[in-house]
Amino acid sequence: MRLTLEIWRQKDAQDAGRFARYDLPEVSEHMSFLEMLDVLNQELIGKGEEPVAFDSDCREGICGMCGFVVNGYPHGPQPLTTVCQLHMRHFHDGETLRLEPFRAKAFPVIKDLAIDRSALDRIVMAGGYVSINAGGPRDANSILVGKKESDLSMDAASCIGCGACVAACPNASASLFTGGKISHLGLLPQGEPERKTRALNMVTRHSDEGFGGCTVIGACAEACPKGLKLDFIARMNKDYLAGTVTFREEAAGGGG
Amino acid sequence: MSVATASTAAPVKVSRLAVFWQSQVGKKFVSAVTGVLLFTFVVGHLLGNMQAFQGAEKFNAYAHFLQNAKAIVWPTRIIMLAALILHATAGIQLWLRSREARPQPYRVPLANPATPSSKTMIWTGLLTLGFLVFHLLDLTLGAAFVHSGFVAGEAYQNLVATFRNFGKVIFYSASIVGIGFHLSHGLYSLWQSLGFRHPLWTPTIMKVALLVGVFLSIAYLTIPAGVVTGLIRL
Amino acid sequence: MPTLDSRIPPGPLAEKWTKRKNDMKLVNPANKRKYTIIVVGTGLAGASAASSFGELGYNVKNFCFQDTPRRAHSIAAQGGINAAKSYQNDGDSVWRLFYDTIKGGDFRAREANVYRLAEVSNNIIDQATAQGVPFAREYGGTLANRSFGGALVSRTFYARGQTGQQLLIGAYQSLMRQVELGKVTMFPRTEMLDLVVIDGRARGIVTRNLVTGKIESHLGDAVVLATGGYGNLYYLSTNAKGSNVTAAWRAHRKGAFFANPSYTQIHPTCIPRAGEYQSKLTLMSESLRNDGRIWVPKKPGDKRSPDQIPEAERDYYLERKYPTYGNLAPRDISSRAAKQVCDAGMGVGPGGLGVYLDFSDSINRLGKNAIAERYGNLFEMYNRITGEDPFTVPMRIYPAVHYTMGGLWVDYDLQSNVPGLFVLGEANFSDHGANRLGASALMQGLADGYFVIPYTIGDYLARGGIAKVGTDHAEFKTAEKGVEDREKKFLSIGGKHSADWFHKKLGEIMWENVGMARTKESLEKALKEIPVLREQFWRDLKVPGSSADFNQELEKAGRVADFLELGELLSWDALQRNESCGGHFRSEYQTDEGEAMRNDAEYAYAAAWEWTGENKPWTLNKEPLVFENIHLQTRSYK
Repeated sequence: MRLTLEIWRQKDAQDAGRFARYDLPEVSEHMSFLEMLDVLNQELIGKGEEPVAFDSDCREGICGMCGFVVNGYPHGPQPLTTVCQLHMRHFHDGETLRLEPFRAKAFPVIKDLAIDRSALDRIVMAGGYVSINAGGPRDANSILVGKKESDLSMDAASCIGCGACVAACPNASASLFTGGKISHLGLLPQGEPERKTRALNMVTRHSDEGFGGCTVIGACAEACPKGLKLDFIARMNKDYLAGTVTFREEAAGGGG
Repeated sequence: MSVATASTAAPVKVSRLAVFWQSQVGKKFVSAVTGVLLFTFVVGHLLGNMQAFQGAEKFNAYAHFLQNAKAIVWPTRIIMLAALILHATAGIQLWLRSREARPQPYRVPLANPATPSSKTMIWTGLLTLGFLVFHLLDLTLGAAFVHSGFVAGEAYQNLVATFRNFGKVIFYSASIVGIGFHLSHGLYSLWQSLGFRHPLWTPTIMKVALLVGVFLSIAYLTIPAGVVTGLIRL
Repeated sequence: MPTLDSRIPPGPLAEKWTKRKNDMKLVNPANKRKYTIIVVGTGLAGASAASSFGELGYNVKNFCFQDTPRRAHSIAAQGGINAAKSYQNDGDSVWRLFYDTIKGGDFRAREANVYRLAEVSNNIIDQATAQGVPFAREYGGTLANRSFGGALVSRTFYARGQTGQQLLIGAYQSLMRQVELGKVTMFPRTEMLDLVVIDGRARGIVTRNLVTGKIESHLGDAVVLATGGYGNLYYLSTNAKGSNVTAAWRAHRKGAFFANPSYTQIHPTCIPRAGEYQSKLTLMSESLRNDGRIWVPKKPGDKRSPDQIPEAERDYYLERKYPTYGNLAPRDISSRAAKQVCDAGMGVGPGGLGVYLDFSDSINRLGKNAIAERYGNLFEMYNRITGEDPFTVPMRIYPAVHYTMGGLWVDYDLQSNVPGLFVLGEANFSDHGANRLGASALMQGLADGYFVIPYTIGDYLARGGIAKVGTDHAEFKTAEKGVEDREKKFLSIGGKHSADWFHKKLGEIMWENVGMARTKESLEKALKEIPVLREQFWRDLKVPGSSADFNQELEKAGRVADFLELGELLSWDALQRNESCGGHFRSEYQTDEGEAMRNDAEYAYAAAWEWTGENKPWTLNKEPLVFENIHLQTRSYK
């Protein structure tokens, strides 16, 4: 099939950026979206032009490194699919596709469609873990976790950190990402001791990184390639609110 | 021996309330709670105003009662004003914050699946705020530049006069529809802001919120409609 | 020729690791902060090592080429992780896991290493669970297990089809905690381009910031490489697009021996390739073989749709050839069997390069819901890629390069022959012999990172003798200049073909001649073609852009240049090994039934290759493999 691509080209973070138009006369329907861009890039290199910069790594929909907006849809219009797993059979002959990077203040553009998502790492740094060191934990089966809680925790944990939730949100909020991590750990007994402080710290960091707040629009959940639900944001809110009320300052100079 | 352990201590050492208010989750909580208060006012106000259908005497008596029941009215006014200020401040700040969070807009608009009400909260909210000011000037204070024939104590007559003005009917009706929109998202999303969401209840809450929004709009619209159709007349 | 000292502790197998730990020198806790450890890679091995070092109090510099450490390709492992917990009461033990692993590796791994791996396997499950990894649970709240290829017990722990992701995120979270505490400094989008050796010890690395292009030197008291495998040598593999051998190869060129490169694992259950533009192959978890039956039509060239082929005209060839293990035969055996039936013309799908993996019997027996519960996400993935629904049409699968057992040579302490250079996970050669069993890669990565290296690196540091130097040392300057010169060279060739073009050509040579089955002739052919291609690469490469910004073509060029050297070494290794074992199958050495024929008398050694210089032949060093506890036998899965 024949496709026209309008791709956002931006040399670096300072450049203003613009769309560039490319005609692709022979796109196979079995190609993945990124393979189509590979083919385009090979052509551009052949013509002595700079190829389109975009991130990808596993190309199996699990590493979360790929992602840009296709015709207004983060990762393209196919639900529950990262752009690396999006196949061209979902598009039709003669279509024009507009490709833009995920846009948010917290996600500065590096080049073309590649962006810097390290703000998400810093949200995890604020408390997205169970504070235990390696070595000497008790037997795994001494911690019982009900299947339902475990499954729900796994639903939350399946976030791949791609940032599509931020890209889709009119407020550029990373609440689904943050709520996912808070829920993954908060639903398990292992994460219970730090549940509230984790929510307090991660929500604060989320805000410090320049993301917007959640206004329950639901675009994030629609865009999420792993199907994370708004439930996790509600859980984040709940833990945050409970934390605000019950939080106690640590006793100074406590044991050592 | 002590080894390094991650500190999950409080984020900042300032007042808990200030931290809470500064956080987006905290603001949404305030927004939800004050929203509920304002919603109760909207319902109460409607119940009172419905008396317009019972004629001038009844309606004016109600108005007199309110003006004399200072022990009820003033605390209510103060609480509602505080709720309104907090609600509007939180909403506007969150909206400004969202704009800051995406300084470079998309060139191709996002294909959002969002409901129209959820995307327009700031606009329906601002409309409501503007309406509120106008409405107070029009029918409570009776400012001459808004309501020329205003007569203090004659609430029923003033009401009818207002809705005999075509422009005001349009503005009131549009505002009422806006409030309906605002409520249909607000009554659903406040649960989320309070931390409650459930696969069984949330879809129901969403439907109920929409119904309440639509119902309140229609109910309020009956008043100007009543004047226009002559059901409410001098 | 230096002697290879594997430093395996003496004494009974089950006591070696304990003894080793007891004999180690320890670093005073107050002194740990005076040491800096460089960790390259943030997969299971790298992230777990870096976070453990941070927890112990060392200063850590951790590097990855991706935008965040959470992307490392460990994340793509689907099926699970083995441990000898014996929660299922089905007769498992540390010994049995050890034995299965060493047998699965076709008796080409070190006994002591493999035993230690089995020994610490249980700690890994405890550690991961404590971190909050959401492993699958039974209704009673205990951990669930499933069975996996090459084993007769259920010892595999899993988190849906995303076990690697969950374990990696567990390690990543611990790492992020250390970053927040300031013990680990993270360098994402940074690629290691050279190793710096001073006074015979690994003392640092030279890196390129992939965003700004800046070349930088980093000094450390020890360097830990956890940079994964080299499967992308074949261009098409199940590895991530960015996976590469450069870090390991640069270390090899600085003196570290590269061991057993020819042990490459071809995974039997991948989605067949669809066209020329194919950029990578996607693996479907081997766990699918628990409930799927593999078959091809009995008649060559049978073009009927699968539901039109009656039972009697289907060949369930794995069940026929290996009645005991059936569809759960180890990876190398299953892969080769698939190639054999396809070579004989029975293959299905485009180009006849595929076999069916059919779930209809299991769906009939267990119901669609049970199958969806177990494999739902894998079925969706298959459907997304092929547009076919495995609930109604059998999957088509074909083998693809998946894992490389070879890697940098390390001793029992995971230290290479260059003192101070440690190598973990897939990047080393140590634990899987000639073939890796399913669900063992995650186990090895975490065992190395959480439970081996934190001990052994302390011993190295505590023994002292590490000189005080700075990054202004001549070795750093020379390495930086070398890196810069190489970049200039790539950019100045101005030829006709992109790095990808050369990579694909190399991949074709490797897959055709050094793939699933190798012969003396095919290897000699590869050894003729690779240097020709390499020469063309340095003459005809085209890299657009500059070195001072985000230039993905420049990144690729460096990686392909190193693959072009590795390809040759791999072929030499395959050529010298006149036997078939595990992932190395030489067609000349097979039984009448087509099974791999080992030659224990002559080839029971690890081949550790030594770099001797540009365009010079490598020197082969041999580490004899001594089996004191198990009896070498012909692997049989019948």
